[in-house]
Amino acid sequence: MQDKQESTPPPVPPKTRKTTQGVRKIDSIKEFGQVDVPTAKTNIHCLTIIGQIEGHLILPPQNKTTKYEHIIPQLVAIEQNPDIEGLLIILNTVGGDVEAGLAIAEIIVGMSKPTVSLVLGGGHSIGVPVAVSSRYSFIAETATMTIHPIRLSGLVIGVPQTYEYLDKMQDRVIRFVEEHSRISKQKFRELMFQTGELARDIGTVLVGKDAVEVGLIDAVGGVGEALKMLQEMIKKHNKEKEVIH
Amino acid sequence: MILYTPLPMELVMSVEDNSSPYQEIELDGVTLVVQPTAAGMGKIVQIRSTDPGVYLRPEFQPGQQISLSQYRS
Repeated sequence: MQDKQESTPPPVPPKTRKTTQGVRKIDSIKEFGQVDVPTAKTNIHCLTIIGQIEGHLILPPQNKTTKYEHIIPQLVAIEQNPDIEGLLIILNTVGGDVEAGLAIAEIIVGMSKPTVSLVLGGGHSIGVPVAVSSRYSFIAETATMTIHPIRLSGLVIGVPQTYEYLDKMQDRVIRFVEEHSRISKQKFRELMFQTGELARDIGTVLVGKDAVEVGLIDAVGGVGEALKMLQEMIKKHNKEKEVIH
Repeated sequence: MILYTPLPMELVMSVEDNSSPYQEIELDGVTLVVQPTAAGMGKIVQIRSTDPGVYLRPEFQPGQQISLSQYRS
């Protein structure tokens, strides 16, 4: 791989070109209060979901959160903007609000543009339905996904919670995951209630290819594979559009 | 609200200091999370955009000092 890079020197050193452009840009902000509109347009947008998914309540500030009210309008804008042809969703989340997570997952499912997700680091709990909501999903080799029941010790506010209510919420998650991945309801439940894997809870931790083997995620891969898949899907999608017109 | 997370609740919900040190501003159509430093100045902490091109713009690099007075939102 190294030999290849050495044998083909780039015609223009991109590093120096970028620096001069950067200096000029900062100068124009300082001197005129103006900013150049970036010329390099991309047909893919990237949504990163980090930390806790935050919904109805603002979590204490020590939590890194992805807020529902930021994500939803961004997804609507991406769906509506004709310049954007595809969406890459990158997840590194420890779960969060059930309703907000499911809402984000549902809106991704409903998008007409090609979507690819990539689980990096972790996609735990409510991150699982978000990860499977795209048309094609990837997981990094070292990334983990924790599947466990929605617990009674979890925080429940505003609803007179009963065991049935929690069970219903759990069913929503299970049904969504089953519908949008290759895993069966039985298998997902089995993973959810497995004993002996987690120290403080029942459940399963899936690492990289484990998630692919159980049928939750489509393939193991990184950002390169994810973008390649997305570009292929865009090509196919555009061809289909041409046929219709 | 039901939290579905493997993190222990006491870690998620513990409240030490409830005030967030960050502030959100909009600059050139991009939402930025900034941490106020000196009077009227702020340091960029995070960019909130789905456009990957925005993250390459030198003026938006995390750690950049910007003037908050004209962009307050």
